Amino acid sequence: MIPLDFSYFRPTTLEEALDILSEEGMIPILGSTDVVVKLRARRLKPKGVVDLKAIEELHSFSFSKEEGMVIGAAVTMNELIEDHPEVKENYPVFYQAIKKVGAYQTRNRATVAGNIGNSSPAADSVPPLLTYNAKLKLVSKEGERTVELKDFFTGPGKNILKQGEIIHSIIVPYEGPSIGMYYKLSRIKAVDLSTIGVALTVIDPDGKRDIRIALASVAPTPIRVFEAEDFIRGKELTPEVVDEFAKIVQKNTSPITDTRGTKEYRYEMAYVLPKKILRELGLYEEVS
Amino acid sequence: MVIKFTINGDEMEVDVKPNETLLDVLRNKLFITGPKEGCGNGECGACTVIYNGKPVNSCLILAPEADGAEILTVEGLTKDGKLHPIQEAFIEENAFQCGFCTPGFLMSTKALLERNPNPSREEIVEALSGNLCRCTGYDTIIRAVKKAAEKMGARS
Repeated sequence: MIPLDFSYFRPTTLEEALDILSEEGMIPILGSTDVVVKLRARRLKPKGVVDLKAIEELHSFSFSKEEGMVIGAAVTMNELIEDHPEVKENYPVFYQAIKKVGAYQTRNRATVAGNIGNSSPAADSVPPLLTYNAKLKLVSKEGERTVELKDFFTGPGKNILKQGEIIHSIIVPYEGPSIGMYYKLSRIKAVDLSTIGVALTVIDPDGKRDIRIALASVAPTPIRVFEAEDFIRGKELTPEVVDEFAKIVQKNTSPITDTRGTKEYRYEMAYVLPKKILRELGLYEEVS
Repeated sequence: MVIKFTINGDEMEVDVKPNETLLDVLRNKLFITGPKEGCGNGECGACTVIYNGKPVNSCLILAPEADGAEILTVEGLTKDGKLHPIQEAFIEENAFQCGFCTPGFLMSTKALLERNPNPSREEIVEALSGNLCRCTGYDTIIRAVKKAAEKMGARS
């Protein structure tokens, strides 16, 4: 029993949902995997929860090279991993990251929209989406707007959503084939939040070779390090260039110490991991 | 509010409150006590049930969300007093000691073998990574899952 009184709504249309959500104290739920934990800890005290899972259009998924991938808010992580091979094929770094969220049971309920809406600095699905230039379609009673994912977060647990506004879908442009890696360090291999997460994506590895990098758990929000990307663009990946790249990534972090790790460790890993990923991808060899 | 769901093949109507979890309802209202409350935060997997064909943590589902769901708990594994091959395999391999986590492991295993009748060791470990056991050290559990797969007709 959750030590809190609140009401429960399950609208079947978006209009109805947005109507209820426009009222003060109402919060949306999808997989409820983060929300129930927060309710139980009384970190959230809503008047009511609005379950969006009965709204058909939020379950849609589509992919085309022209339009990219559009993930409806209610699509679960395991649906993306198991039912839509386009995800693994076209967005491998994103695929790797969502496989590392929680446990199998969690991923049967958890959604990417929920992971984004929860706005934890440790959200594993976010760094890869940042490297793929993802956008969010937000809707409210007042209308809709599309925003860049990189402009969405404002602090730990904080974002630009207004009362009554929800994430309707996630739009991930397709910019060509990509390779890369999501490297998650955590205290235990099974279910744990990231001590640090690094997404390194290489768009068009055999052509223009555009290297992108974003990190979780090293700043108040997940971050993408454009400065490091600008530095490495077009350069031959010599040990010196890669080292400088990693130093720029590190310089852009501002980690803290918490139960999962110290700021010193995270800061060090923000330098080690970008190099390690490039090495493991076979993009450069360290001269010893 | 009154919700309807199917549990272990039986259709039921239950009066629930929004601040109750599915696990609360199963244990405290329906006295289906196979699913256990360990952490209450989705980290230990002791409350795992199969929900519309998929393993989930019943402690993270608000009771009203379960309206219309089809749920299988460990109580539903046994048919006519006969243990399920997964249960037999767990006994034969001594895959439990205190038994608190076992119903959760059995349900995760059932769901795994349904989607993948012949899993590799790695696939077993991944599928069970949301279930904690503090007694066995997991090796006997992994052996039991392999044995259950054999019993259920997978070619090895």
